[in-house]
Amino acid sequence: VPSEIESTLNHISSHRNVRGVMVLSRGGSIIRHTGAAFEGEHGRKYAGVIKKIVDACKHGLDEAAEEGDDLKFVRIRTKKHEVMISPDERYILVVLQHPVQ
Amino acid sequence: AKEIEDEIRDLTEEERASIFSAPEFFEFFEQSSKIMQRALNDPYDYTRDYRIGTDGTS
Repeated sequence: VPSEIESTLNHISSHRNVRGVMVLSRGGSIIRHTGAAFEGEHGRKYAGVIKKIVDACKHGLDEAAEEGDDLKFVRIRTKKHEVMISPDERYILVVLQHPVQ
Repeated sequence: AKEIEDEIRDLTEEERASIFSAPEFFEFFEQSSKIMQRALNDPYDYTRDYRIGTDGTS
Protein backbone atom coordinates (compact mmCIF):
# COMPACT_ATOMS: atom_id res chain seq x y z
CA VAL A 1 0.00 0.00 0.00
CA PRO A 2 1.49 3.36 -0.99
CA SER A 3 2.40 5.36 2.11
CA GLU A 4 0.26 8.32 1.06
CA ILE A 5 -2.83 6.12 0.89
CA GLU A 6 -1.89 4.32 4.10
CA SER A 7 -1.49 7.56 6.03
CA THR A 8 -4.83 8.92 4.81
CA LEU A 9 -6.52 5.65 5.81
CA ASN A 10 -4.89 5.83 9.23
CA HIS A 11 -5.97 9.41 9.60
CA ILE A 12 -9.61 8.54 8.84
CA SER A 13 -9.46 5.43 11.06
CA SER A 14 -8.10 7.37 14.01
CA HIS A 15 -11.11 9.66 14.08
CA ARG A 16 -12.63 8.99 17.49
CA ASN A 17 -16.04 7.85 16.25
CA VAL A 18 -14.76 5.69 13.42
CA ARG A 19 -15.10 1.92 13.87
CA GLY A 20 -13.80 0.80 10.52
CA VAL A 21 -12.76 1.78 7.02
CA MET A 22 -12.93 -0.35 3.87
CA VAL A 23 -11.73 0.18 0.35
CA LEU A 24 -13.65 -2.10 -2.01
CA SER A 25 -13.65 -2.88 -5.66
CA ARG A 26 -16.94 -2.05 -7.33
CA GLY A 27 -17.63 -5.79 -7.36
CA GLY A 28 -17.42 -5.94 -3.56
CA SER A 29 -13.95 -7.42 -3.06
CA ILE A 30 -12.04 -5.97 -0.12
CA ILE A 31 -8.90 -4.14 -1.26
CA ARG A 32 -7.95 -2.82 2.17
CA HIS A 33 -9.68 -2.58 5.53
CA THR A 34 -9.02 -1.23 9.01
CA GLY A 35 -10.87 -1.57 12.30
CA ALA A 36 -12.29 -4.53 14.20
CA ALA A 37 -15.77 -3.89 12.73
CA PHE A 38 -14.59 -5.01 9.30
CA GLU A 39 -12.46 -7.96 10.36
CA GLY A 40 -12.83 -11.45 8.87
CA GLU A 41 -16.11 -12.99 7.80
CA HIS A 42 -18.15 -10.09 9.15
CA GLY A 43 -16.14 -7.68 7.04
CA ARG A 44 -16.77 -9.75 3.93
CA LYS A 45 -20.48 -9.87 4.66
CA TYR A 46 -20.47 -6.11 5.17
CA ALA A 47 -18.65 -5.60 1.88
CA GLY A 48 -21.32 -7.60 0.06
CA VAL A 49 -24.07 -5.53 1.64
CA ILE A 50 -22.33 -2.27 0.70
CA LYS A 51 -22.02 -3.46 -2.87
CA LYS A 52 -25.75 -4.21 -2.95
CA ILE A 53 -26.57 -0.77 -1.56
CA VAL A 54 -24.42 0.95 -4.17
CA ASP A 55 -25.98 -1.18 -6.93
CA ALA A 56 -29.48 -0.27 -5.73
CA CYS A 57 -28.69 3.46 -5.52
CA LYS A 58 -27.07 3.43 -8.92
CA HIS A 59 -30.01 1.57 -10.39
CA GLY A 60 -32.44 4.10 -8.95
CA LEU A 61 -30.32 6.99 -10.14
CA ASP A 62 -30.12 5.57 -13.65
CA GLU A 63 -33.89 5.42 -13.77
CA ALA A 64 -34.70 8.78 -12.28
CA ALA A 65 -31.78 11.14 -12.74
CA GLU A 66 -30.77 13.21 -15.69
CA GLU A 67 -28.13 11.79 -17.93
CA GLY A 68 -24.53 12.37 -16.98
CA ASP A 69 -25.29 12.49 -13.27
CA ASP A 70 -23.44 10.11 -11.01
CA LEU A 71 -23.56 8.75 -7.47
CA LYS A 72 -21.02 10.45 -5.18
CA PHE A 73 -21.93 9.94 -1.56
CA VAL A 74 -24.39 7.80 0.41
CA ARG A 75 -24.95 8.26 4.10
CA ILE A 76 -27.08 5.80 6.08
CA ARG A 77 -27.92 6.51 9.68
CA THR A 78 -29.38 3.91 12.01
CA LYS A 79 -30.00 4.16 15.75
CA LYS A 80 -26.51 2.94 16.54
CA HIS A 81 -24.34 3.51 13.52
CA GLU A 82 -23.69 5.57 10.50
CA VAL A 83 -22.31 4.17 7.28
CA MET A 84 -20.82 6.55 4.76
CA ILE A 85 -20.17 5.33 1.25
CA SER A 86 -18.33 7.09 -1.55
CA PRO A 87 -18.30 5.14 -4.82
CA ASP A 88 -17.01 5.69 -8.31
CA GLU A 89 -17.26 3.37 -11.34
CA ARG A 90 -14.49 1.08 -10.12
CA TYR A 91 -14.06 1.44 -6.36
CA ILE A 92 -15.95 2.15 -3.13
CA LEU A 93 -14.73 3.82 0.06
CA VAL A 94 -16.71 2.90 3.20
CA VAL A 95 -16.51 4.42 6.68
CA LEU A 96 -18.46 3.06 9.63
CA GLN A 97 -18.93 5.45 12.47
CA HIS A 98 -20.54 5.22 15.83
CA PRO A 99 -21.85 8.71 16.56
CA VAL A 100 -21.39 9.90 20.13
CA GLN A 101 -24.55 9.96 22.18
CA ALA B 1 -27.04 -13.72 0.86
CA LYS B 2 -25.09 -16.91 0.44
CA GLU B 3 -24.72 -16.63 -3.31
CA ILE B 4 -23.38 -13.09 -2.97
CA GLU B 5 -20.70 -14.17 -0.54
CA ASP B 6 -19.70 -16.87 -2.97
CA GLU B 7 -19.64 -14.43 -5.86
CA ILE B 8 -17.30 -11.99 -4.17
CA ARG B 9 -13.84 -13.38 -4.25
CA ASP B 10 -10.73 -12.37 -2.38
CA LEU B 11 -8.18 -10.43 -4.35
CA THR B 12 -4.69 -11.79 -4.85
CA GLU B 13 -1.67 -9.78 -3.71
CA GLU B 14 -0.83 -9.10 -7.36
CA GLU B 15 -4.31 -7.72 -7.99
CA ARG B 16 -4.03 -5.51 -4.91
CA ALA B 17 -0.65 -4.22 -6.00
CA SER B 18 -1.90 -3.36 -9.47
CA ILE B 19 -4.91 -1.50 -8.01
CA PHE B 20 -2.67 0.54 -5.73
CA SER B 21 -0.44 1.54 -8.62
CA ALA B 22 -3.32 2.50 -10.94
CA PRO B 23 -3.76 6.26 -11.55
CA GLU B 24 -7.55 5.92 -11.54
CA PHE B 25 -7.41 4.37 -8.10
CA PHE B 26 -5.31 7.26 -6.85
CA GLU B 27 -7.79 9.73 -8.28
CA PHE B 28 -10.74 7.88 -6.74
CA PHE B 29 -9.04 7.72 -3.36
CA GLU B 30 -8.12 11.42 -3.39
CA GLN B 31 -11.70 12.45 -4.04
CA SER B 32 -13.55 9.98 -1.83
CA SER B 33 -11.22 10.34 1.17
CA LYS B 34 -11.73 14.12 1.08
CA ILE B 35 -15.51 13.65 1.12
CA MET B 36 -15.17 11.35 4.15
CA GLN B 37 -12.89 13.71 6.01
CA ARG B 38 -15.26 16.62 5.48
CA ALA B 39 -18.18 14.50 6.72
CA LEU B 40 -16.20 13.32 9.75
CA ASN B 41 -15.21 16.86 10.63
CA ASP B 42 -18.84 17.93 10.76
CA PRO B 43 -19.92 16.69 14.20
CA TYR B 44 -23.54 17.77 13.83
CA ASP B 45 -25.94 14.90 14.45
CA TYR B 46 -28.97 15.48 12.26
CA THR B 47 -30.99 12.77 14.00
CA ARG B 48 -30.66 14.43 17.38
CA ASP B 49 -32.95 17.09 18.81
CA TYR B 50 -30.48 19.63 20.19
CA ARG B 51 -33.25 21.64 21.84
CA ILE B 52 -33.71 18.98 24.50
CA GLY B 53 -32.01 20.02 27.72
CA THR B 54 -31.05 23.53 26.63
CA ASP B 55 -33.80 25.22 28.63
CA GLY B 56 -33.22 23.32 31.86
CA THR B 57 -35.74 20.57 31.13
CA SER B 58 -34.44 17.20 30.17
